[in-house]
Amino acid sequence: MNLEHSYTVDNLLGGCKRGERKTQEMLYRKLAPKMFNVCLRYASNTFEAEDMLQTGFIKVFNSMSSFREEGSFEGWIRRIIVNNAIELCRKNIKDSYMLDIETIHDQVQHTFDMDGLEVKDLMRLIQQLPDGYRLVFNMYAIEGYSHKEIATALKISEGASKSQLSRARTWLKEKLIVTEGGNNYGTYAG
Amino acid sequence: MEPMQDKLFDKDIRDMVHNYEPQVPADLWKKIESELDGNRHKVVEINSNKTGGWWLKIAAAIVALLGGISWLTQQRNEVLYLHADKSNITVTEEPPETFAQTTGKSNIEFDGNTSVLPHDAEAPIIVAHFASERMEEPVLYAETGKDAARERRLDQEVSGPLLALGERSSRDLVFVREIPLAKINGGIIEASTTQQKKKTLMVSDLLNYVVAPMNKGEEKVLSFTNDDEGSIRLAISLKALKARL
Repeated sequence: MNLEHSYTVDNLLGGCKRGERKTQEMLYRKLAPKMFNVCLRYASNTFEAEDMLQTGFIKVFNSMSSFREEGSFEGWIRRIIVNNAIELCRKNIKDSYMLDIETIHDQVQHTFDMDGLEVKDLMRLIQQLPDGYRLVFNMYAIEGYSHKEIATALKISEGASKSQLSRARTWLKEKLIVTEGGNNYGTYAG
Repeated sequence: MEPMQDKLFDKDIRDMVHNYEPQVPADLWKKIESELDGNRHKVVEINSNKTGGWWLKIAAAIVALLGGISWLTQQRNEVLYLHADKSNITVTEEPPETFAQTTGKSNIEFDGNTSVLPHDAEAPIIVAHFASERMEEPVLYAETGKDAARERRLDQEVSGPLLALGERSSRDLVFVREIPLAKINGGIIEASTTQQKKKTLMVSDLLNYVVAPMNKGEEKVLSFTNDDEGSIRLAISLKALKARL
């Protein structure tokens, strides 16, 4: 289907509120790639990410009447998609990943160069993170939640949130410097 | 305080993934659309069936009925039933003056064998009825009694409170007054005796009749009842409603 793309997301608000199927599809076509990005980072595989995207957009269209037009329409949709992804992740997380480890051993800090890294490879690595690490890393490092907000949302302690984040970083860095087929994903700059 | 290297690491990853727009599966919109259509069909089924929008029609009828009933019941007649020991009641052979006024035109001879009210108590029952100012015709008060008395009527208007005395004896009952049901401004007055119970048509019965089409099945979706204070109660069965959906 060849749809016109000269419209903005805000132009589609009225039609989506009225439940017009064609307008809803146009909104979906416009935002699905960005929202799929979110889902791919939170999910452990592509199928799970597709499920997150589907359920997320269903929630978006079913709650159109609750959008108060006080902020960005796209931002509102993104929040729904993210919250839906977090909710689905929480259900899959094993308790062992969220143990409150107060003592975080100091790690040697390196400057990391990721110029040679493909974004697809990075996304794949993030998906491979253990569930708890991935969830906290996404919420803190990419979405910008504080440890206090993460602790409240996931019903864990702030200490557990910090430890999960630290472990996620360590895990990613270790993976990023692995050599595969002679190509480095990244190198330590120092 | 978070090390700078960690902050930079997070930033690098964030910058890399921020603008990435992966290809979305082609058939995903179809799945979303079918689920949205499924939800819409459920809503449509609620609003229409073979009789075409009966739900809305009945709801509108209920609202109209409730509004009308509320207007009609603004003025209510008060009926007091006092039970007293027999020893405290003086039963006279001759009726009190006010009663005499009401019976003046009647063709019933008030004697010791005649009572004016049904009773099922051991003690005499005194009933005071405060008639509405808007009543223009006699009021149906009570009935039953033995055959002879039941046939008799008093065709009189009562301007003031009506006193009637009954006693559990061999006295029979007579009709004090009679009025078409529509003339009663208050609630419906219900009379009962040990010999006969008169069924009164209640507002809730009317409403239940109106909503009968939606109450097919074992459980009723909507049901109306009257309480002792004259209020109408609406009961909604969510289980039955869900079953009908």
